[in-house]
Amino acid sequence: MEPILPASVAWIVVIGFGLLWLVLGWLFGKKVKTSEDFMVAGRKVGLAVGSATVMATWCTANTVLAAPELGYKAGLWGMIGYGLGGVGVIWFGSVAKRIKELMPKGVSSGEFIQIRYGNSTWVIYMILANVYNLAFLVTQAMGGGLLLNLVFGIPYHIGMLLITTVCVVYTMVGGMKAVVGTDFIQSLMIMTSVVIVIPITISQIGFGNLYGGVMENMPDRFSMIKPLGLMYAFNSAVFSLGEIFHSNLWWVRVHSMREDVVKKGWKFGGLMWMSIPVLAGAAGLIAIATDLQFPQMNMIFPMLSIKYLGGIGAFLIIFVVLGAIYSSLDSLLAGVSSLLVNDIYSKKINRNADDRKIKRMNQLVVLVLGVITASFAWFQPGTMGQMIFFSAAMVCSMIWPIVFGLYSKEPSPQAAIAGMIAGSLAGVYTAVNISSFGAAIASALISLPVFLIVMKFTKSDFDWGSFKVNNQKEVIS
Amino acid sequence: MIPDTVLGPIFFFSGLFIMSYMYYIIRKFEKENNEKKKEKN
Repeated sequence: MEPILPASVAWIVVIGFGLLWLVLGWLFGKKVKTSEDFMVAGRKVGLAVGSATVMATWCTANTVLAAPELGYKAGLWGMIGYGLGGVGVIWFGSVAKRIKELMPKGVSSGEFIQIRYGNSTWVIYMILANVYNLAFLVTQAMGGGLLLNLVFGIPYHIGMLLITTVCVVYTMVGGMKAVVGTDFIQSLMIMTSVVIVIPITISQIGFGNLYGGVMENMPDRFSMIKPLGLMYAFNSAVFSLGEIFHSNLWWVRVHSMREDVVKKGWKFGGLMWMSIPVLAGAAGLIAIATDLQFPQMNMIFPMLSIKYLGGIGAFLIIFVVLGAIYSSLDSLLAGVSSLLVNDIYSKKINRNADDRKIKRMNQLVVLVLGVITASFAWFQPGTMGQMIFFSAAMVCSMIWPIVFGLYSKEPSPQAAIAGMIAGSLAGVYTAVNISSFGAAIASALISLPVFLIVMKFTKSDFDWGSFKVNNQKEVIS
Repeated sequence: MIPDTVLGPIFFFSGLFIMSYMYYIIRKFEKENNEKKKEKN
């Protein structure tokens, strides 16, 4: 397929945006004085920026480019099902408030697991969480390289290295402050583009023609009992619970936001995000109705944008693609580095590390993560879909130990470990032998009874005061 | 190989159960937590 922009224009735009993020990273970096500024943006993020960073981080390139594929293949359930991925974000708002109560000086999700369930559970958590983190980092870098190649004709390896390098540099310089600051701008870029492209396209075609075209070409796409649609209906919703509830990518946002806005921030962010896959998924139905010829499924949205909006459409696609990739990759780098530094360096390797050393270590870990990510993405290990579905099996096994552990004294480390292992095994088995769509659901479904049964026989009486003691220690050291 | 016509409803209702249970449990925990806070105050 021909790139949508001439090579010279594509390079100018991509490099221009790269420079913009670097300058912003440098400007935000000037405000970073302490390790707390670097890891949790000084805990001062308000409602507008908080909602924007939640929405932008959850909006990956997949949200915009793979949603039309689901709309095209699975019809209405594909669009709605993808949109339900926002439910995990909204519900995490309630949980986020509890996290703030328990850990007002917290930094990572790992420290919650360690305090609540002890070292053995923490080790298993770190293994499962970091398999997911690595898969997510590599898929985002790969997605960046593939999209720049597909949409703008920039060679894969150069595009992937360019995006990864820019993200690593501005995250190293500005930490979480730079990440949430750039996320605000990136979320505006994504929202503006999607909200303009789809309504204008539908208005040009007309609702009647859209409905008539789909009914004529693929009428089952409007069926609510289409088997593929039913299989997919709750996949994103359950996967989102696993991804968001366990990952430090999200916990670090909870710790970054002010306590008075944390619940609202997550709810607004989730609602804003839900509109994107639903709108982008409609592009799949538009493609069916207009009999659009496309070389690859993930090119539906860019092709419609250019067909109905011309040159403006091409620039809106750039906004979406670059906004989505940068906002997710930088958040991952910041979230994973704070998890590793807070849980391993500050608590195991160098307990007496001062603030300057912790900040430096964070910057070093961001750099190392960038190198590891680019090295894996260079060789493209497996497809993005395969890597994501396998990670779903692991992350969804952690939903119940985290939710129950936040509120109830009863869950024991044995119950958490049993739930996590049983869920992961069930999810991987389902992904390999039954259907990749079922990995998240099987993992959460098997993990729940195993967790509850083991909890019944090994009830603990956890002392909530442990959080206060541990958080105090952190403040003192 | 299980056909999609069988897997579709299984995944649909399993997913629906997980989401419903999650909604119930978060609401229950939140309510209990708020009551405990009120009692303390």
